[in-house]
Amino acid sequence: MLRVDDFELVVPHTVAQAVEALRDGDAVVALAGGTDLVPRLKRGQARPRRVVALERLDALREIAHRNGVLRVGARVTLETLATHPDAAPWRALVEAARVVATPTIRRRATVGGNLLQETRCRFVDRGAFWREAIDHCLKLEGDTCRVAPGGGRCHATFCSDLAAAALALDARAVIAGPRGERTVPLASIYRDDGACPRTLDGELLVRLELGAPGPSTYRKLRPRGGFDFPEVGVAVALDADGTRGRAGAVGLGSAPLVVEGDAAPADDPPLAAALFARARPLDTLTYSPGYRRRMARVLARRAIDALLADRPAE
Amino acid sequence: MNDASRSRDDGVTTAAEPAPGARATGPVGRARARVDTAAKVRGRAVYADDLRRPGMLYGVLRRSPVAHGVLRGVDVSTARAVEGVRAVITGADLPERYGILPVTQDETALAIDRVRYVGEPVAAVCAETEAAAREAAARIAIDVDPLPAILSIDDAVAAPARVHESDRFPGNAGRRIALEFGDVDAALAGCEYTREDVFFYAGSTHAPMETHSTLADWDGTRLTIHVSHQAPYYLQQILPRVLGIPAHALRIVVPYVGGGFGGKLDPFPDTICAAKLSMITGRPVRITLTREEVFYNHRGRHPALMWIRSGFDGDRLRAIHFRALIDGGAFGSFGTAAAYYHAALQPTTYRIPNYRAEVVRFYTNKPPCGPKRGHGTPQPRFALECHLDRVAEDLGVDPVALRRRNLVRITTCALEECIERVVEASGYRERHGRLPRGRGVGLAVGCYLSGAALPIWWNEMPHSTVIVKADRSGRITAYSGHTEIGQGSDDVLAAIVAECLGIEPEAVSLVLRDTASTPPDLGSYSSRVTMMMGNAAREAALALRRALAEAAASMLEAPEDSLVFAGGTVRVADAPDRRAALAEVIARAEAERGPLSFVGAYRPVVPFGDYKGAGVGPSPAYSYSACVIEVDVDTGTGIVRPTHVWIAHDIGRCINRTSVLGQVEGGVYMGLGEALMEEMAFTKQGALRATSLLDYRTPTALDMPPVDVILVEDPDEAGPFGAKEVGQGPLLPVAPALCNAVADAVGVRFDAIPVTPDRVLRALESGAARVGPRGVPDFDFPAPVRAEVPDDAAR
Repeated sequence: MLRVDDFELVVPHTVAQAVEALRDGDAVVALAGGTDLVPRLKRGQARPRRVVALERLDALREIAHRNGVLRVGARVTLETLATHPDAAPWRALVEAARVVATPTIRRRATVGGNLLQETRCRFVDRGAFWREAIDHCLKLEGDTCRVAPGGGRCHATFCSDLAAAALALDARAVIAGPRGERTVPLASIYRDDGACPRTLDGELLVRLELGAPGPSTYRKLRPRGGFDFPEVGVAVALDADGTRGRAGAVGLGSAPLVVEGDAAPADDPPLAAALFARARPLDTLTYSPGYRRRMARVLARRAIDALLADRPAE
Repeated sequence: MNDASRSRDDGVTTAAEPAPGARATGPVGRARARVDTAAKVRGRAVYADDLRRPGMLYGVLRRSPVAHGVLRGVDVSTARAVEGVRAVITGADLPERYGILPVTQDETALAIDRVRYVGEPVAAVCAETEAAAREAAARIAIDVDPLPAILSIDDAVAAPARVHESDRFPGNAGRRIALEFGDVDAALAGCEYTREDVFFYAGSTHAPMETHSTLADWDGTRLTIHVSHQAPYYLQQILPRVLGIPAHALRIVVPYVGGGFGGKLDPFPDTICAAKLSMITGRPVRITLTREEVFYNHRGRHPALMWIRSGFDGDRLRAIHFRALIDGGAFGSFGTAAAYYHAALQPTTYRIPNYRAEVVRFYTNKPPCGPKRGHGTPQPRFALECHLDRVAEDLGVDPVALRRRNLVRITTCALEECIERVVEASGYRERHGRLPRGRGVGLAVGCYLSGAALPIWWNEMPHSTVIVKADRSGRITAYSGHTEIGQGSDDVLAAIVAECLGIEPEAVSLVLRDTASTPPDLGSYSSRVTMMMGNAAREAALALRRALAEAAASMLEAPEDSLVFAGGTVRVADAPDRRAALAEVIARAEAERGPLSFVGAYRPVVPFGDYKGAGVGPSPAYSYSACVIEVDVDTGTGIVRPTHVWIAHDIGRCINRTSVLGQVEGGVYMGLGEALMEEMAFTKQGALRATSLLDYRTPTALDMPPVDVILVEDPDEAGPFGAKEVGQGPLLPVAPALCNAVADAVGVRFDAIPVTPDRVLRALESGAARVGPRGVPDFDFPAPVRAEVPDDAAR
């Protein structure tokens, strides 16, 4: 059996205590559901000195719809999000939550953990022995990216289903830090760097906030009906009149993509073309980069089709 | 309530030994919960890794991170320095060569002088804790001078390096075979029509739920090994020499095994190292592999590059010339047998008057390939069945008619009925070629053996022996060394004994798979267990029954042939009131005769040819399957979704209908995985790309279409109660049926699997008529060994 190295476990009772525990230097990680972190601990991809378990922070478990705003706490499980009546109008988000991994994992995995999950790459999500066999890579122990050896940066890919949906729905993130809480566009917490894909530093994601929803939906390409991370995930949200939309997409780079554009004409929507133009996937996942890029366009077009077909007759 | 308990009282058997294949009236043939179900569902079933011993040490292997190279040195000093480490071994400690086949003794437990694949064990450590053992193993420094890594069939042919230095075969060939009957060249030259195609079948692995695990315990004079394994009696034969101990000092015990599929048949380095470490330390040593390490043990499906040329006069098949270049990985394993199986089972479904098969198995720098469910037959079956669909298209003949026209019958054979039943159930005739673009149906058939007629290590001893014992408590106990790998063989044993004695399977006590206490059985491979263990069990149980009938006849004052064994009693057939409880009859018999212990043994007697290679393929009986798959191809994404599977299997006779259905569905499942998503793919460094079950994808429940299973029961007198195999055959037609369906749906012939969405989309957009290899490299095959033309094929 793979074993986890020793670490210091801190279990804060308040958000302030959690922030205090998280800011204390390098090699400190937060633990919520553990479905992303624990496998990486076992493979030696993360060797934290301290793990801050968020299990006592009940404030992060809120999920409620008030005054047209949906608040989803970072510790809400994916199963809760997928089934909670208050969340239903934010359809893309609910659909994305429903297709993450497996039912067992969704009962444990959290919204915060999914949004803040590590980037993924076929050269790094492996055991320590395997990484030795390919002479390591830039994201962990090595100095060369095995995907694009000349580039000098890590191209590990961001694969959060929820992020695609939340970004299409223009979500905001509430972040707790040493100076209190701040609310920022969700997109601002991501950056296009596979080795360091988030801008949060010693801070805690408290919740998502989503404003009044338009029609939205999520499409996921994966090899199997369960378990798999998205090879490409595309969420589309349309304006109330259905003319323009916003797409959030993952599996195409180290950061999620957000593009806006017109939804018509249906056979080649500019929104889908814009996503295709922005997407520059590399050979980090299972399917080839060219195929994933093509599929981003197909999924966007199909999402738009479905949303337009669903609109009530005028 | 299951069928057996509902209808038990209907059971009527007679004291006279039923004629072979006679209709069973007890549990045999019914759909029942297996006798091991409750233990497995409740978590009470014990697997190797569940076992604990006082003072047990934990072992971990250090593996080569280099695919191919000269092993200059292994520095274990840093490992010995880790606190808690009790022993460290390297190749020098286990120099004896071994291999599962007598002809390929090319393995050592730990690499010596050379490393040949990423993941090959180089050293082993044992320590007081698993953490200490892992830490120590990771610290072992391996000094390798790299050599070019041979990672494909093309590499193996080009041979920039040789994986094994041997004078026996040129380059990287590990085994070359050529067999022929008839005159293929002349026949093809004279045929009205010939066609050739090239195919590639990707390598795949077994992915059992349980990872390999061994607990070895040397007490100073005896070594006891508990191991998750499919063939303990081969370990019993091979390990004493490797470990330098007398054979009688070794005892192998196999608990429940969490899936085998062929992946737990070889002697493995982890087992040998655990034993050696226990002999050095004098303490029990456990080694349980991680999931990643299971991929390195491998012994899975050989990747196969194949060429086939056939000739027809009208719709009559006249000749086939078949060639396969197969990628064997770093060691021999079962590869010689796999090479022969590539040749052996094509002529068992079709009448081929002239047939030549040429197969070369190459060594490459990858984990060794071996026997995976179907063992060397899914690849050529894929080539043949896809090829036949194109022949039918060329000739303008219905694919069903073409197959039926050329069928052959060997042993009992319900293949024609299987074809008819799936064609009927699926509406194939009305739908093939007539569905809208994107939807299609495909047909294929297959055949497998019910046990290899020859043992792996030649001898004339029984292949299976079963002891059935009764004692004064009324208990019936069956002793058998067969292995239960999840396929249901414990239930087969209990059901057959119960059937013979008129009791329920749950009433039979089982003492199983312990080489010190159970009689020998060659193991769970070649679909042999029901046929061979089942026949031995029946013989032993019927011998006990005769002894009990003798005692009951005097108790009930009735002739033996009037007695009925049913419901745990013995009664007189036409006088139901004259009865005795089975326990009383047993007590009387024990008093009259002494101990009631009876032995049954089975050794197949099957004719086979007088040429080299004739031993691979003969079997007491053959199973047949036919399959129709319907697919939906999304032309926008290239995703192929099987929407329905119809499969008919000629089982001879079910022992437990539920188990049989499970095996058929399991075969379909595994075949779909191979057809659609599974592949042992490697990085350019030779590291396996997928080393977890997240990345090595097998289908999930959500990916499985509805499977309609049609069981055709045509009892074969060779099998116990007429039973034939089901563990492997139903996999065979799945991949070709799927590819034939894709061709029907979108007009693209997939001559290579897996059929992944990116490959489909690329083909659709490029307008390609086929996807597959362009050809096979030139290779110098030897002159063919001449085999006799099968009697039936000559007609």
